[in-house]
Amino acid sequence: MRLRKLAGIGHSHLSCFQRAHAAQARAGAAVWPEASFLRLNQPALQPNFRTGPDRSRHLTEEVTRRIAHFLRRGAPDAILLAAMGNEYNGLALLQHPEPFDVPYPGEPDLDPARGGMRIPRALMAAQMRLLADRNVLMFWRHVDAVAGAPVFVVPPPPPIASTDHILSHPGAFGERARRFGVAPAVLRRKLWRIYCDTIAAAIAAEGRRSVFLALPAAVFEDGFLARRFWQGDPTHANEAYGALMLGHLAAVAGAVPAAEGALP
Amino acid sequence: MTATRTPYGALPDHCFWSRSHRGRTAAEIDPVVRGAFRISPATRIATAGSCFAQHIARHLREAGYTYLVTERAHPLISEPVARDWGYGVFTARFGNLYTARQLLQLVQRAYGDFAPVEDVWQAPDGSLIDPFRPNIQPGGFADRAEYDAARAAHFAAVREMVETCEVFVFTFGLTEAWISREDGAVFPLAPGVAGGDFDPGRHAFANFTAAEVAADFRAFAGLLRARNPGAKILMTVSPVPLIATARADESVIAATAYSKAALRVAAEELRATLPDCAYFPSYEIITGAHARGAYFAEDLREVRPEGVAHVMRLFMEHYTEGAAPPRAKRRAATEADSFAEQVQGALDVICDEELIDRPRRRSGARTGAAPAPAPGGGGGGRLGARTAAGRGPAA
Repeated sequence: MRLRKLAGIGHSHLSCFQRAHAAQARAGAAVWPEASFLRLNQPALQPNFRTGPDRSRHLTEEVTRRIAHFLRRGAPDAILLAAMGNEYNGLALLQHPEPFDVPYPGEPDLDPARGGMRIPRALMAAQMRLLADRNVLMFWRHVDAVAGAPVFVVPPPPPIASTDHILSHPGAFGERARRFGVAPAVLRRKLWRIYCDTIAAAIAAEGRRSVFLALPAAVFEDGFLARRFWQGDPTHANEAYGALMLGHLAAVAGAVPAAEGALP
Repeated sequence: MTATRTPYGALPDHCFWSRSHRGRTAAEIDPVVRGAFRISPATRIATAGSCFAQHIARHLREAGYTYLVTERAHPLISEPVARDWGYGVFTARFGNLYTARQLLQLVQRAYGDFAPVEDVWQAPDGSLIDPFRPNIQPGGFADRAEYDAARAAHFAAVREMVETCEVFVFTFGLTEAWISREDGAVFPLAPGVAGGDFDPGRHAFANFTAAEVAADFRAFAGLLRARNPGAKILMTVSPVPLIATARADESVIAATAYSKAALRVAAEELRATLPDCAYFPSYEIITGAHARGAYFAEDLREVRPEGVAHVMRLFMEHYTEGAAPPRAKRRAATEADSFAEQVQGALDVICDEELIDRPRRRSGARTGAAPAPAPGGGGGGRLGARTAAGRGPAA
């Protein structure tokens, strides 16, 4: 079944999808004939959440209202969620003053001569889960609860292998990238995998009609973001990545049960 | 006519039951009399023992005293996660040490003087559980290498505690324990409760006497003082009743009375015979008649916060000196703190920045960003195929 209408919700990682769709539309070659995007990082929606006395986070009424209206009006066949993601980058991108390593099946250990603590994978996953619960999963739980169509949760792109590229394009990390240095690429890859595992596990356990969208092999080179998907940025992927992912999403979404109809 | 002279005549009020209680509310009762020594904000304080010892640790830390933690999670790990994994609950990541024998064997193991035969349990999912701290690693250890590395780090942390603490606070919790028939190793929980399998051929029940408790603690104190002669010891007895007794012929109520009495007797003997070894009556503060049971929660077992507050108020009054440092100065800023503040703490800011669109806006290119909806209009900007080419950048 050909799905027509896509609704994208998210933060900065949503941009590549949005730009890719726009480019496809201009060329008359849109994978998704209709697509609409709700950027949650637009100024009008700031802040997205409020923090309670117990440090718990809650989406603001404005955000939930806008999401509800967006989905009701769009009546999408599928929903793409690319929310947050920097909870992982904040943990992984820069070199921590106290070196550490995390074991991961099939991944090499860092050079022991580098020193530092070896953090058990499950402990790092618990930390990732804590951060994810306050970030991406907070948005996801809400969208999953109100969605009338399958929700495809897209992780942030895999890490960029090149330290030089990151230092040349530190983006929002700015001077901090030079001050702290960039974490070893292998460590960043392991942390990205743990982050993805964590989100996927939460979605599998709690999701109503959500799917964690595993990335296709084409986006990887040695487990990192393939060079052709880089842009002048340390963490985000380019328009070509968005185009590839829109096609991937269409293929995956076409294989899952169709939407049950518009939201009430 | 002169008053009759008795040995009680010159004693202070606290020696008399009536004068200790008359005109005082429960919260005003003070059975401490005087602290045996004083703790300054700089004194390195270690704690171990049963669950109740956690209150002392938490309070000292929150009050700005130097609570010694020798086994820390990496600074990337948030405190709630670290606590779930047993970091910072006590000085090292040993979990609850309910019995004096456990404490003694822990130090012996840390220094290589005892190597229990039954030193690892395997869970049905293949993960590994430390029989001597079965609850400190949710989900267990992934493999033997992780297990061995964690244990080596743990033993190093225990040694550091022994060698660097200035005050060691221990809360006696239980006399009942399960031990290995092979070598006497004491488990904090019966095999099968939080890991392992109970095997009557390998595991035996023990209910220590006051003399055994005193002997075990005395042996521990000997090990401690051999490496740290100046360390002071403060003992307490947990007021928390047994959750269950393994004695089928005995009520848990009577078993609790025995257990606490034996522990209290042992503490009294140790106080009288060990130098620089004091007893703090947290047990009496919580269970005394003055409290009329009100310091226990609905389950008659858990101690209510007001009971803990009473204990800690008297502890601070009798055992601390000097004002605690202001919160802002309690901890020297480290490079790791700076990292957390500058990188992780800035996450929300980073997430709210439109990292990609900005340069394209400057160049005047169309961004495809969703236009901000009209006030009150709700909904995000629509960028369907028909409209994608016709919309300008976000307002």
